[in-house]
Amino acid sequence: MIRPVFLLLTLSLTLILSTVSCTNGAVPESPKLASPAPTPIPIPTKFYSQTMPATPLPAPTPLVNTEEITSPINENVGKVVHDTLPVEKSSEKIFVKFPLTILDREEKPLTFTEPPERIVVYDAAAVETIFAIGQGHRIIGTHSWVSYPEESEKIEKVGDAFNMDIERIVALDPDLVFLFYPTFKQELEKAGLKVLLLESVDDDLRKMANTFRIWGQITNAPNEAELLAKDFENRVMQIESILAPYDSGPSVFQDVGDLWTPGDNTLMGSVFNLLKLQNISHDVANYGQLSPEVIIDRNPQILISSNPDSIYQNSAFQELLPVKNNSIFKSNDDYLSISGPRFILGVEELALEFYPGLFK
Amino acid sequence: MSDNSTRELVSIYKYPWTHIITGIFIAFICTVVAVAIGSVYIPVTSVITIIFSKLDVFQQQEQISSSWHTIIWNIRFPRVVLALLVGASLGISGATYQGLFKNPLADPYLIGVASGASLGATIVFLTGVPFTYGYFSFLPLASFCGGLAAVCLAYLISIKSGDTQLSTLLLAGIAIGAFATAITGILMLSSDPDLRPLLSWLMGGFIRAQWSHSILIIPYMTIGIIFILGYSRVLNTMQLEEYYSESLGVDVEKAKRVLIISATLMTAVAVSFSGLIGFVGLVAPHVVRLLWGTDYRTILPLSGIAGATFLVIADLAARTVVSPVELPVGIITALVGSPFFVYLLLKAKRRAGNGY
Repeated sequence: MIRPVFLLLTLSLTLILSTVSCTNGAVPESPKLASPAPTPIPIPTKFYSQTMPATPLPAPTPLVNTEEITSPINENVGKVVHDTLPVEKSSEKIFVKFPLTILDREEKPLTFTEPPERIVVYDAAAVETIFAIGQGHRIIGTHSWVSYPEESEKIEKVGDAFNMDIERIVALDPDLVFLFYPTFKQELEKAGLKVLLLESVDDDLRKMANTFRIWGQITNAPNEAELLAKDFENRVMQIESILAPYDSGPSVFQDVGDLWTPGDNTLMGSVFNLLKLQNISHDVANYGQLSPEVIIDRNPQILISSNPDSIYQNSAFQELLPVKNNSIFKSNDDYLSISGPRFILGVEELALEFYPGLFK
Repeated sequence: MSDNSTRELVSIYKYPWTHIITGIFIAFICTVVAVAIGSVYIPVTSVITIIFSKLDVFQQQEQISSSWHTIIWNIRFPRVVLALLVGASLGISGATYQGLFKNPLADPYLIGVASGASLGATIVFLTGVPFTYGYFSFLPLASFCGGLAAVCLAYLISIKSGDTQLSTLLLAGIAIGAFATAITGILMLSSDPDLRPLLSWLMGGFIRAQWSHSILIIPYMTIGIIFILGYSRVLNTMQLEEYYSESLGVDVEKAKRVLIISATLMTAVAVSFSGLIGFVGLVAPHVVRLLWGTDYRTILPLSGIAGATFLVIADLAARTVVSPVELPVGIITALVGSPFFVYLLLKAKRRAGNGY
């Protein structure tokens, strides 16, 4: 009487077990296992060589009208209040004058009488930045998805990116809490903590240089930050100047999973603009799930995906050039998913991949 | 109970053929419209040419661009067919559950299929298995197994507590569902930040539709439909007290078992390819009941047709309203379905005759 049910149950359990055992690991037990393993790659990057099919890229057409290249630093991005003249330049060394006033995301001033010694940094990109300018010792708390650089593993985790142990943060008694999204701002401020949110770089990668500089000022390491920011700007400018003679490059579609794709006003959108790749989802607001019909119709010459197999095996996409050529580019999420100092390496990887003749 | 109405209840083959044929015709028209319209404009004549050229009826006359060919034949058409099949599965199994539990709130996900399927999908998703291995895809398989396992567990619990008390089954299903949802939540919170693909799967939709999905659904659906339609008279008698059904010579326990297994199989396989699409399985049977009465020989087939038509139209809206971006189809089904449902409820209340 209950035999068929037992049969079904055992059948499905076996199938589940076999499915799970087919995987390369068990169910993630701890957040550390699930987060991507950090691959510390020293600057300058060694690019891996990948054989590109000879045909897919059309030779870029030389620009007829000289295009004016705007300065990589947008002057309006400057968020430091200069009425107290916090930065003084003397013989190329920069000094920061405290008290220092910083404008946060809502343009509200936040004053530091001295560099904060104990910072809870709730943002992977900011952790990377602060370590990159040699001020990592100031960080006393992060969230559990932060895994780079290696030293950051030892720092106490006070929650994952979307859940915050506010009691624990208060117990750590930080001078400053840095957040990348405003959800817990009020609660933390009510607990008497100083909370900082900086202007988001989610729509333009060039804003990163300014973020680096602000961190340099807050942590009183302006020269290191200036080096980092200049290096970033030089790398951006180099890409710009190499591509300056060309009108436009190939068309691109980035699949971040299940055909979700970034539009023009996103960080990746600004990367595509920099690389003169024509984003076929330029008319998508922020991120959206692009209709497969539209992908076929707009026929991208380059496909970037975090999971190329899902596209290779979709029978609808067999006619797309990158599928035919077996050349879907697997994006480096270690670099391109964190808007910190390593982000530009991911951008350079894309440049090398898609313009193999121009970059080396 | 008079002799006549007994005969009426158990007489074979009194299906409402005119309704069914009309319904299939309407569903066919909607299918044609859904294939003709999409986020990329393709002239209707070309659509027809493409489909007939595949069917080898006519020799292809004009030259049609191969991208149009791909769009119609590999994206739009399989998608519409999958929506039809999933809609029919959800409609029929929703009607079955409502009849079985004598509960107007029952839907195909009632006894844990949805939560089990979500848990299965989440496990596959977060363990980072490649979703597909050759032509074989893990995501649907895992969600299918998860859904089935949850229901089997609920069923075993209800057996342990005596004969299959439907209320026990219901409560066990809800408990297991809540447990599975909790595990899913734990897994999702303790994992990699980018959950967008998983969330969009959970919301449901047909963006991944391929011909192979429809081919895999059809056998389960056929078996499910044959069994459920075969038991539609029994479902009628089960609306009475069990005592009466047994006195009519119905093996109620066996009927329950067959109906639960068939409906669950149909739901699980539909969920595994389309994700969790709400509202279709709940509303379709009610619409049919409000319009055409309470005989399960009418409700079951017409719920299938209504569910299929509704889902095809909802998917058409999902992929065209904010083109080139897609909306989750569940948003459309709830947005369009609920006002229509409320309208029917109010109308039925005014007539106040058929149990609402």
